[in-house]
Formats: sequence, C-alpha cells, structure tokens
Amino acid sequence: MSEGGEMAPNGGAEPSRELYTIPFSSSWFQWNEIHETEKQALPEFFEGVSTTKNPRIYKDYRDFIINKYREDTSKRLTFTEVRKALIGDVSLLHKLFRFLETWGLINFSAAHKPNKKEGQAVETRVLVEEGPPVGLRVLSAPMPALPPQGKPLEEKKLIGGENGLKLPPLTSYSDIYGEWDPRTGSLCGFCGDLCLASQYIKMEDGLKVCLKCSKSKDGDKDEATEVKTAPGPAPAPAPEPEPAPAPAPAPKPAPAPAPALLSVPISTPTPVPSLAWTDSEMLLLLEGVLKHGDDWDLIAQHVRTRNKTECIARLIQLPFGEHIVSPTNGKSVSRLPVIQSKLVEIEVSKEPVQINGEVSGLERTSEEPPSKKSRIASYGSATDSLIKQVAILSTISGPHITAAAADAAIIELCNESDHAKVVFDKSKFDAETKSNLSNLEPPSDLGAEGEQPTILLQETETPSNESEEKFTTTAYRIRASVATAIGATAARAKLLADHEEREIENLMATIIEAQMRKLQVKMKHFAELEAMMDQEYDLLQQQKRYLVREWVSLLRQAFDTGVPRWKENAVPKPSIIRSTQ
Amino acid sequence: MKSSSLAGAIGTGSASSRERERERASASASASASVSSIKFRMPTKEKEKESLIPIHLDLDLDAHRYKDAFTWNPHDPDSLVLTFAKRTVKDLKLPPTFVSHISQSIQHQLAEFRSFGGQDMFIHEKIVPLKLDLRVNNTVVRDTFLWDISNFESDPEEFAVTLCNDLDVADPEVAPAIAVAIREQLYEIATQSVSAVKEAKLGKKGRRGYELSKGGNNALDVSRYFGSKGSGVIRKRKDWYMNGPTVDVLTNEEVGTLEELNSRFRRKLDEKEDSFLQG
Repeated sequence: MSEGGEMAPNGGAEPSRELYTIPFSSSWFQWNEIHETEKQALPEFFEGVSTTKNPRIYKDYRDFIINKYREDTSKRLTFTEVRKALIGDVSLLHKLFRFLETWGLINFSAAHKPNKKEGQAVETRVLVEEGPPVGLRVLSAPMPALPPQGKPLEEKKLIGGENGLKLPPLTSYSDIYGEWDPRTGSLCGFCGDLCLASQYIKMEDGLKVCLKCSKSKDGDKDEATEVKTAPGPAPAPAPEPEPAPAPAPAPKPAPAPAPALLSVPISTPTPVPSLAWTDSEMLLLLEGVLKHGDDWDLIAQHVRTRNKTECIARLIQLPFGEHIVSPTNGKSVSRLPVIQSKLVEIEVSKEPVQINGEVSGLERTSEEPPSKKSRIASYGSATDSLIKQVAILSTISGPHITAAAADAAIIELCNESDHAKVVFDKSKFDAETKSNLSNLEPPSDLGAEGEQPTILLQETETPSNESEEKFTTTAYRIRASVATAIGATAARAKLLADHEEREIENLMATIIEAQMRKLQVKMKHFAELEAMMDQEYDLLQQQKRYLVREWVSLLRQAFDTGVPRWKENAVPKPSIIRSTQ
Repeated sequence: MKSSSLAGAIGTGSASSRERERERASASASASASVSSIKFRMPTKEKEKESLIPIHLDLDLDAHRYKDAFTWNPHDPDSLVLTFAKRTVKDLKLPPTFVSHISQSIQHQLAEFRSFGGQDMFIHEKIVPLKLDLRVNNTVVRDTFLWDISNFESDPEEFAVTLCNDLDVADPEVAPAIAVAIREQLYEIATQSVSAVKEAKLGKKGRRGYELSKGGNNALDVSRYFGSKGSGVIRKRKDWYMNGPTVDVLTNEEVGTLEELNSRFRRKLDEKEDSFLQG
C-alpha cells in the first residue's frame, strides 16, 4: 500500500488517495503509530514478555488486516480470510480482529451480514408500491400515517439489478409471484401480517390491506360504508383471495376510477368473478356506448355483468375510450397524455381544474360528494403522489395557501362557465359535512375547501333550481373528475415511462459494458497467444537454421576426411530441398 | 537450566537460537506465561469454573454402533453422567445395555483427566499447528491453523462458531464438532506437558529443565517468523490456500460411499489386529 498518512474520517484531501471512512470515535487512529487505546485493549503485545508478541508484530497484523479490508471496502472482511494469511495464534488474532471491527477500523462500510440465527428475515422481492402505498382509497383526505408505514416495506423492495443499481420500484411494478404464497394466503401490504381470507380489504391494484390497518387508517368509516353500498363497486374477487393477486394487478395497472376500498365478504350487488374484461363484455360495452352515449345506467344494463362504474373505468382505460364517448354526447372527455403543466382543454364545464400541482387536484377531488364521485375523487388524489401531497401540506403553514391556490383555480373555472359556480356552490354543503366526518390531518385541506366555497358564495348567488341542476352537475362532476383523473394519470404515466426508459437504458449500459469487457478479455487472451506463437515460431526458425548449419558442417567434415564419392543415397534429397527453402 | 548441554544435544543453529531466546525470555519474565508451572487444566478459557474437556465415545455392541464426541465439564457432579447416558440411549433408541457402557466410558475419561489434576504442567509459549479433518453429516471440514497453547484466553467454541459463520456453513452441528476436535488436540498437548510425563522423559535422557518440544508437536519455529530478522508474520499469498479452511458439502450418496469405505477399512483393521494378536 503506497498510501501512508492519516486515515481520519475528515478524509485525506489529496485526490490521489482514496477516502477511507472510519467512525469519528476512532479518530485517534494513526497509521504510523500505535495508540494508547490499542495498547490497553491488547496488552499481550505490549508487555514485552514474549517473543511472539511485540509492537512491531502487532502493527504488522493490524496493517495487514486493514489493508486487506481496504481492497474492497464494500465487502465484509471475515476473520477466516485474514487468519489464513497470518502467522500467529488464532485466538489472539481473533481478538485483534474483533478489536478493529468494534472500533470500526474495518468493516465499517461493509454490508452487514445478516445473522443466520435471527429468524428468516426473508428478503422477499415482494413489491409494494413505493409512491402512494394506497393505490386507491376512499378517503376525504390523504393519509399522513401511511408514509411512515410505507417505509418499513422498502426493505422488501428490491428489483432487478443488485449490482448496486437499485432503482426504486416503479409504481406500476408489481411482483405478483413474490407476494403470492398459496400456503399462507396473502400478506397485508402495510403491516406484512398474514391476512385471513375474510379480513382483508382488497385494493384495486392488488394491494391487500388487513382489516386492522385499514381501520386504523381509514378515519372515515362513513365513507367506507357508503362506498360499499354505492352501486357498482369494483369487482370483488370474493371468496378466493389467492387467485386474486394474480388477475388483479394484471388488467389494472393503472388505477381505475372505481372504488378502492372493498370488503371482500360483503356481498356486492353484482359479484363479479374476475376483473378481466372478456371480449364479449367489451363488445357489449362499446355497443352500449354507441347506443346510449352518456347514459351509464343503460350501458351497464347492456353489459349485464358489469356495473356502471366498471364500465366507465374500462372505457377510459381504452386508448381512445373517451373519444368514443364524446361524439355521441358532445361533451367529450377528450384528454390523452397531457403534460402536467398544460391546462387541459376541454369543452366548457368539463375541465374545471388546472392540473398545476397536485394540490389543486386534491382540492378538486375532495369536494365531491361522498357517493360514487368520492371514489373518483380518491382516484384523482391517489394518482398524485400521496406523499407529495402530504409533504406539500405539511410544509405549508396553513390552509390559507392551499385555499389561495384552489381559489385561483376556481376563479379560472368560474370564468369559464357559470355551471362551475354552481358546482362549487353545491359542493359547499358536502364539503362541510365531510369536514365533520373526517378527523385526519387534511381537515386543513377541507377547511380550505370550506373556505373558498364561502368565498365564492359571496361572489355568486345561490342558484334556485338546485334539484334540476343536480343531475347535470352530477354528470359534470363525473366528467370533471374523470378529466382530472385522466390528466393526472397521463402525467404520471409519462413519468413512469421515463423512469422505465432510464432504467432500461442503465441496464442496457451495464450489459453492454459487460460484453465489452468480455470481448476485451478475449482480445487480450488472443494477443497473448499470438505473442507466444510468435516466440515459438522464432525459436523454431532458429532451431532449423542451427540444424542446417550442423548438417552442413557434418557434410564438410565427411568431405574432408575423404569420402571418395558422393553417394547420392547418403544425402537425403528431400531434406536438402526442405532445408534450403 | 543450562543451555550448553541442550545445545550440544541438539546441534542445530536454529534450535540453539530458540533456546537462547527462551532463556532471555525467562530471564526477563516476571509473571510471564512463557515459563510457568501451573496446575493441570485445559489451556482454554474458563468461564465460571467450567472448563470443558473432550469426551470421545465409540461403542459397538449388538450391531448398534454409537460414535460420539462432545465436551464435558469435569466440575459437574458425577451423577449427571448416568443421567446423560440414560437420556442418550433413550433419544437414540439404543439398546439399554448401552447405558452402562456409556457411563463407564465417560467416567473413565473423566478419571483420566482428574488423575492429571493437581500436577504441575509446564506450559511455555508454543504455537502449535492444529488440524481439522472431520465430517459432520454432510459437511466436510478441513483446516489447519496455529494455536498458542499458553493462551488461556483461547476459546475453541468461539473459533468454531466464527469459522462456521464466515464460511456460511448451514449445518449447526458442525461448529460443536469443530470445537470438540480442537479440544481433543489441546487436551493431548496438555497431558503431554504434564510434569509427571516430562520427568519420566527427562529421567530417561538425563536432562533436567525444560525439554524442547522435539518429541511433541512440531511447534512453530518462532524465531523464524517473529524474531527481528524474521520473515515477518504475513504469509506469502501462495501459502494462503494451504492455511485456510476448506468446507465441502457432500451429497447423500457421497456420504453413503464414504461410510461404506470407512466400515470396510475398519473391518480390515480389526481383522489385521486379530490376526496379529493371534499370530
């Protein structure tokens, strides 16, 4: 090791040296000296008593072990590796090794080796969404309690390259096989507990939450019950939890606007056996849409096996689903991949919300009435990163800022149409009721919501024909929220796609690199072979020439001694010819 | 303890230098472990008065073969021996005749250990290469390492556990087996250094004082490595392999064939013995 000098944690500054990290508590360590601490810990070397233990030897041992570790600081150095290279009593060496290890002079940056005896901490490659661990939840407010819970699951999230390149798992990534263990049933996505068949709540995208987790999170039981009884809940793969994870994530990679929270054993109005839409169902759906356009009840009737919201969900998932809807009723929900900052241009009263920051989206969604729109609302909030939302909310000082932002959006909206005013007006009452119900953090959110409708109220007048407009606003709301949802999804999808691409590129790069290295090694190998062959060839030539010379001298001698006649037979002709070539 | 006669007897330069070093060491020693006479005991760490001695059992009766090696604490009351024997027989479903044989064998070995007790043994610092070559269920361990028998803080169990952890040995029975093997070798060395044995040897050769370790294990020539002109305590890389452990996991078939070979070999040996005794 050419490097001398101090190995202090505040690092050698010279760029030619590597930085060797040791804990600050070990900063007494000096490469060139032996410190008091060492002398006290290992007195055997310093008593001056024995021939095999003296400070010089101690330093040799110590330096060797540390240098051996520095060869690869990420790999944990084991005692066995060093003791086979050192001469001396293994017990004493072990003591020295342990001393170095406890002081962090070695194995400080190495990965900790999991103790075999500690249970089976299986590093399952179970994948749970990293972002919003929720998927879809019927909540009036985001879950601040969730992110901390989401963190413990991060240990389980390992995908792909374990060569130090650990990208966070993508939200759409779901390891259906990892999680699925038919023997043990399904695991709760949050607490990792085993879920009994009847006590879990299944999320739209396959995530399962055991009842206690959902209870503790869900502050809004009313909403949950409303969800359950609302018509057209998402398909419930009812009695069999096992096959559920498999089909569940597959057809619904993107969260659908259908309700998330679903209790399995409760008999839903139309228990659907599987989530996958068959071709015939699709056909019926499309026919229904063409025929009935906007009337989802009729469409649902047409597609007998699916509920209203399912139909909506499925349609939107289709690449040009909305376009199918739009020409028929003139109110399109046409929005395909939308960049986040762009305002979605829709017809009047369709897109009241700007997708400029998830906050507004959140506001928008949270003001929906609790019946089926709330599902869609939660969809909107769920596609936006929940954690982001929470972070935003927590960083702001109070609801005022969110109110202001939402206010701006609302004003935009009001400028577009009068109906929007009505919409927001109506929602005021709902928002208030909801603020009573929810008791979690984003009551601040709702408070903001409650505020701005009141602000609006000052600006607008209460509409008289509430009941009549109810129906239209309902439709508006659906479309509006759907629009929000789609926009947010699209933006997120783009992000994910970018992420995926980057990941792919990285992996490709590593693959290519590996191939290159392989090829280089091969080339080197062949170059070496060639060099060897050349040498051999030279040698052979030399030998040949030498032989020829010998032969010539032999002939000469024979001649000199007076061999009378040059017998042809004595000289092997072919060899002459060969040798002169 | 004069060195001249010894030097004459040995006649090798290195031996004499070793001798001289020991002299020096002993001269400067105060309470050094290099030349001390202590009561006989296992040269390993004693936790709370509980030294462990290796017990080796190999019984073959009634077509049942019982082979075992473990450590025993000689400070335990002897009543435990019988209890242990009974339990072993019950657990392994051996015929009850084994109980008496097992307890007898254990007590015999304990008595042997105790016969050394109270005697002085001269433990000077000696670094001895210990070897491991054992098979536990499906795992074969071969290893060689150096052990300082004057180091009373040494702990074979700790060493064995570290070895198994570092090499990721799955079978939990390997570590105790390694510890027992180490203890057996240490025990042998300890008994050899007991004064009674030494004096007998000394008497034979007409020497007094500390005899060199010629007869015993081939201890390490410390001056070669540790002395001021030594080659240093770090081995050459090519030697690392020889001094490191190798662990192999056999398949069940391989184990079967090994056992087969062993039993055949043993039978041959027995036959040879018998014929020898008779002939």
